[in-house]
Amino acid sequence: MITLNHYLIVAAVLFVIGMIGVMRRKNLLMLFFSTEILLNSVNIGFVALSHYLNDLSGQIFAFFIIAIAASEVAVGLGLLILLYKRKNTVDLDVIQNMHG
Amino acid sequence: MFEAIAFYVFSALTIVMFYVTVTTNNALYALSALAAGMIFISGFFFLLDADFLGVIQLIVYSGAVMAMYAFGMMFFDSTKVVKEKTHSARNVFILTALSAIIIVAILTAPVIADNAQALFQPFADKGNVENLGYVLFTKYLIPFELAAVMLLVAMIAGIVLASKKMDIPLEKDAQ
Amino acid sequence: MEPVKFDLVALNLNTIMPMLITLGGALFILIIDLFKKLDKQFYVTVSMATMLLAIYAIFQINSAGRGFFDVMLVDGVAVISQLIILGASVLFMPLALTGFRFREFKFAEYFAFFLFMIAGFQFMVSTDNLILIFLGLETGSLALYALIAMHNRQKSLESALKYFTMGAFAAGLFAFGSMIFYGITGSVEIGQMKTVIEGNNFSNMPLILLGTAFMIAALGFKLSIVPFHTWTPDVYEGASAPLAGYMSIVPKIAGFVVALRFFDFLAMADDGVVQTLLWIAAVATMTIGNILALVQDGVKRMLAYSSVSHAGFVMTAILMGTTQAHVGMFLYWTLFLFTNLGAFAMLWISRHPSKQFDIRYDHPFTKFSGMVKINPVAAVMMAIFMLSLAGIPPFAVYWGKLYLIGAAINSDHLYLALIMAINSAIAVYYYLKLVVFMFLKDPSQNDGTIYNMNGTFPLRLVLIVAAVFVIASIATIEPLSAFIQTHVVASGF
Repeated sequence: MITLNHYLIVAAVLFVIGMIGVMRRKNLLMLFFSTEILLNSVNIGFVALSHYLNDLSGQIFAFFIIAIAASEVAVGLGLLILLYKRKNTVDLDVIQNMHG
Repeated sequence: MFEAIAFYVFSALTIVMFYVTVTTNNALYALSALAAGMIFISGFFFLLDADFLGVIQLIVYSGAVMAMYAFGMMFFDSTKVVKEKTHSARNVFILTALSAIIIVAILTAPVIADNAQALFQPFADKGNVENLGYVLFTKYLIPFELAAVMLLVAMIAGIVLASKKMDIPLEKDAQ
Repeated sequence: MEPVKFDLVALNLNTIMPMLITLGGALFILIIDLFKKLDKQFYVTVSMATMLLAIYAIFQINSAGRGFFDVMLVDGVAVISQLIILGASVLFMPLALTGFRFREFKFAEYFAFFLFMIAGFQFMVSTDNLILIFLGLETGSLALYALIAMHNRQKSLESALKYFTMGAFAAGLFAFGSMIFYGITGSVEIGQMKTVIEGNNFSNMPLILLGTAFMIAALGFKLSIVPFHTWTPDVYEGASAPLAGYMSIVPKIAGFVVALRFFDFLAMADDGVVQTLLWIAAVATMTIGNILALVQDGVKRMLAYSSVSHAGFVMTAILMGTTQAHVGMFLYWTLFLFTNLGAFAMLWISRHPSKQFDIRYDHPFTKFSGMVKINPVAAVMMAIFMLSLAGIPPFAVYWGKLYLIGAAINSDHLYLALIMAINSAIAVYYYLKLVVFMFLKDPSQNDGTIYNMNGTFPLRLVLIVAAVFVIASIATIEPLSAFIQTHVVASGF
């Protein structure tokens, strides 16, 4: 029998995988992938909760999270392309000028 | 039974795919694994009777977002293997500990409180899409419109930032 | 399912009027740009007119209330924070009319983004629905990333990317935190959450704590709460000076309002765990921000760390949870608005396209040495802003500090009051360092024109307005706090 907790554990595991990605990655493109994973894992949780609560708000939230993820991609890729045209790299360590 | 099998298959597949995404050094592998993981996530949505979101997940994520990344990657030299400095084992340990805490917390407690009450119970005689549409265009009208504005902002930002107008030599911006 | 019926009056259109005006202004700019390329004076005028109209519309909302199926919540807190947001924007906008021609102001999109961003933050503060908060936050942030990157130097691109990465991570944390609270309460509205959680006496405490931790982290990124502050100095250093000043005020007040709505009832739980968490975060933020500000070489970086410290100071209001503290929070931020924007505008007016004093910083401390002998008016003005930030009476921020420390004592947080007082004393040191450079050191070899080359009449006007407000705060503090008091009390905080 699959319960709500099963879905939530999957969501938590995926979220942790995304967090590992965000912390570990220095390649900006891969870093953006990891943030997509974060938002996706949350969507599973919302839809599962929505199902077990018998309430539609969770699905609506997931719907808007998808919209947010899509717009983040647009802006992120815009910044990334600008960076690549300038510096010919997408590595966060290479462009690091500011410290302290 | 069917639900259990489907659940475990989809969980295993998504976890493996996303794990590949965060660990591989090849951008193309990462992209493909991410796209696959997103398709498998839509499986969860269908299991949970959220048909509309399942379809949206397929169209928007696996279709639009992944296609956008693919187009973006055409600008970059994506075939070469990226060398990244990896962090010390300490960070990984902290993360693992943190994840353990999260999972235990969710496991031990029944999540939904007794006096939680659903605000928008779906109409039993209508389909998922109709129900969602009903809530979306009454209660969530303003968020829906704001989402449109947000997408407009994102679109213009993408166009402006990637456009030729920004291609001028650095540090010669002001005269 | 019956057909949807509602009448227009029940929607309460007034509640979204200010946002509609800013959005309309943004769209107008975009459309005009299609037909005719106009110069920045025109766009600045349109933006100013839009924002003043929006302020007028806010004053027209006479009855606090909900609108649009209870999604919009325009209470006193929403009104004050919208006024702060729009006030800061009105002060910011003339700073685009610089003496040098900076690249970003040639884009009509710059001004459209600016107005979109304001609208996003306005939505964020005038609702208690987590979905709308999230969307408003993202609309504002996405526009802000673009604004930073359009300054078009290597550093600004780097800072936009850093801010974007942090913002995307924070968005993930916010979504996860909201998910946990949705699970506990079955609602995405803060008011409903409060009812459910208080209704069963915080029975689900581990989960509530987990969700709170995620929310503190998510909002902490926006508010630059330690340990989520690491991006702040880099992003401020890379962004143009007025935008850095703007970022230290507007996104943060929006974040503070959300934090106030969200943590207010959680911090009042009997066992006080959430309150302790907030206590640690606030104290760490003000102390570490202060200590790091001590060792900076660039004035802009110093101001960045000092704004971290100020944010920590204001965080204390949320954990105290008394009406006096909440009034103090908005009062402090209003006073901080004028002072900090003034300080950053001073940096902007002395901005030169080439870096003459330091290979890295536009504004190292040495740039300002002996400024009083070369350009006494500017030096005195800068000194006033620094003294105000340091909390020296009778300048503006002093009253805010006094009010908040008083609130801490009245709510029996004596240690907190002591730490706040000690931190204010430490802060004096690094603000006075700049004053010492300006007044006591010998001038470096320049003829003084550098302090003024970017200056035009609108820039000076902004500076004068800010300086007058800072000096006159001794007279305005009474009516200002009374105004804030009525609004905060009316919305039940």
